[in-house]
Amino acid sequence: MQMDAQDAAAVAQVLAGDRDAFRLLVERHTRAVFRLAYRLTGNQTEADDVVQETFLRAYAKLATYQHQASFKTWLCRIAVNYSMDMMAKRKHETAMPTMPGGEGEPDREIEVQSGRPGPERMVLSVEMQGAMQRGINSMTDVERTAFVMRHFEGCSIEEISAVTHQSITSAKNTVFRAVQKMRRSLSPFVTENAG
Amino acid sequence: MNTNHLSESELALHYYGDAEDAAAADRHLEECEACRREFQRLQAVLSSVEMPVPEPGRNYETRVWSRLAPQLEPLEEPRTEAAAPSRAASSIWAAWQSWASLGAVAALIAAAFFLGRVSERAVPATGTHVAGGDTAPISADAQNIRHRVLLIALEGHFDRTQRVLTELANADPAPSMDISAESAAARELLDDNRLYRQTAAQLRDESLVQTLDELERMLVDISHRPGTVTRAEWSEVRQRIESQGILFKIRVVSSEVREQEREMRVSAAKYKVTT
Repeated sequence: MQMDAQDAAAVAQVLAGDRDAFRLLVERHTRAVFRLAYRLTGNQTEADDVVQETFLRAYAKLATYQHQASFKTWLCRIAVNYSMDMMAKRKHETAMPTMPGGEGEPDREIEVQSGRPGPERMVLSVEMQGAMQRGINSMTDVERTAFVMRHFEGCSIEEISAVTHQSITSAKNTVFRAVQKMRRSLSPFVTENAG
Repeated sequence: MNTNHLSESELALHYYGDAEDAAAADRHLEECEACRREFQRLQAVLSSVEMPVPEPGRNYETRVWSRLAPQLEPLEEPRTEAAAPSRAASSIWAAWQSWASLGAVAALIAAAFFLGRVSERAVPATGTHVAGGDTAPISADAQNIRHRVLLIALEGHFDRTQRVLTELANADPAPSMDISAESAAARELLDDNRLYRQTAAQLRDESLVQTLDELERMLVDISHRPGTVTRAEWSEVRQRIESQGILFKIRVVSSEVREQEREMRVSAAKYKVTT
């Protein structure tokens, strides 16, 4: 993936000693990092912490940035690594937090498009949110990371493999295991309508 | 018609566009009603998985920057050729940054050993500074930078090691378990671990040496395991990981390493300002 010209120019300026040029990179990518971090940690305060630490680390390690990957991808790798550390630490302290929209959240309806020819819509209650949460919570940290990267962020298997330090085959298997767990949790809500 | 049905794994890969032969999968789905239905069920499940993200606020970028800015020191130009003698330490740092861009881990190790050779030549055996000599501050800086290079490298090393051990300890038990990926990762980590331990020993950082030594024994054990193990063998590895509290130790040392590196960075910045 080629690096965006604006990002490349900003990186070069920062490396030449212009600290304020880093602000452009922060402004361009903060929200993407926040979205990713929130989906990984399931918590706004922790997502904020991940955003802050990601940019600090990116700044400190900017000279090691290799331009083959886009700057955003590189940032996301840093964010994922830090989030995974955070999740691992938290595991020892407390149980996983509830997924956004899960228990304790106000009841809300989600419209789901089934994959069948001819649109068929079903309205899901908070029960499905709970099932989705159980699906996410049943995943290991690596599975959750791989799933968020693949399902929500559209990252490639190669990127997942690099971030999770797995072979391509293992990364594919990790995504599949995560899909299986999610499917197991959600299938009671979907099978009847799609089958 | 192809009578071999697509597996659940192949269907999931196809959903995300990761199938090895997407055209063949599409053809099969057109011909095979059972697989088509299964795929539609999978699509229905996965397309329903959403995770709404809260809006962080209109001025979020500004808030992030205002918290970040005070913590950022201006970076040196990484490829300075002619550094003034009084800035020798900075040029060593710049050289390290330049090498690091070639490949983070390899360069970190190379830098640590290079700086080791430089400092061993320049620092007297007692480790004290040579009064009035031009080389004394340079060697002390080189030693500090070397230590800092090691700490930066260790941050990533501990993260990776922790991940491999956690993944291994949390694997789903089965009669026959494939741990080839973890075993291969442990082999790679082992090589780095040895280099870091040697560097830590040269720097007389006993606490790090002890942790890295313990980690090395664990990595040796995992890397020597066959790719496929029985449930009992896996259980043995997991018990070893848990009984020694190695993951907890890594987390503690990792956090200390980060803090120590941050302190060194701050004191290096102060030194630069005063010189």
